[in-house]
Amino acid sequence: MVRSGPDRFVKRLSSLYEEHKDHGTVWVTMKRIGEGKKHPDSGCLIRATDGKRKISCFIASSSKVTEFEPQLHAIMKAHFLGGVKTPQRTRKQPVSSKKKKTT
Amino acid sequence: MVYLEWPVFLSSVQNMFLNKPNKTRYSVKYKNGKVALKVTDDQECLQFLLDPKYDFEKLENINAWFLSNMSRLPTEQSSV
Repeated sequence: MVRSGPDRFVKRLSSLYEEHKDHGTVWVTMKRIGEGKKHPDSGCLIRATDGKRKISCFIASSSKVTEFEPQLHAIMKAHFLGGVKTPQRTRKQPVSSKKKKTT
Repeated sequence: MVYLEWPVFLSSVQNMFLNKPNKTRYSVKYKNGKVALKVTDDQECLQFLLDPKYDFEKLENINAWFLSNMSRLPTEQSSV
């Protein structure tokens, strides 16, 4: 599991979505982590995986959420709305019906 | 797979998180142009299937809600 800052996480998530735009699955999971021995601060743990690679980042305060949220939505919008390929339709050429004049 | 209606799903997941904030996890699964939202507290599982072309705003709203509530301190968490 690669733990990174919010900016780097967003870039890596973008590359995950890019690699799997035609096939495969990408999961993004959010979980709250409370204060404890392992984690002195409480906050939101965000993880992403394609089944093989795992990335994560930890957001401790609500002020960082205001910076992170638009970046996350921008990436999701770019890949979810722009990643679906429509099947290409083959255009049939119109048959020209020209009559030959015979004299 | 049982997928709920949006109003039922939204209110149910918010109640689930407010009851068990440290147990509840929220996942967004993207596959073949479809997005599946899943929220579970290891006892109950709530799912919603959405088409991002038409329902992207719903995805933004629920992402924003979970991000802001999960990163807040316990005393600062607000209800819907």
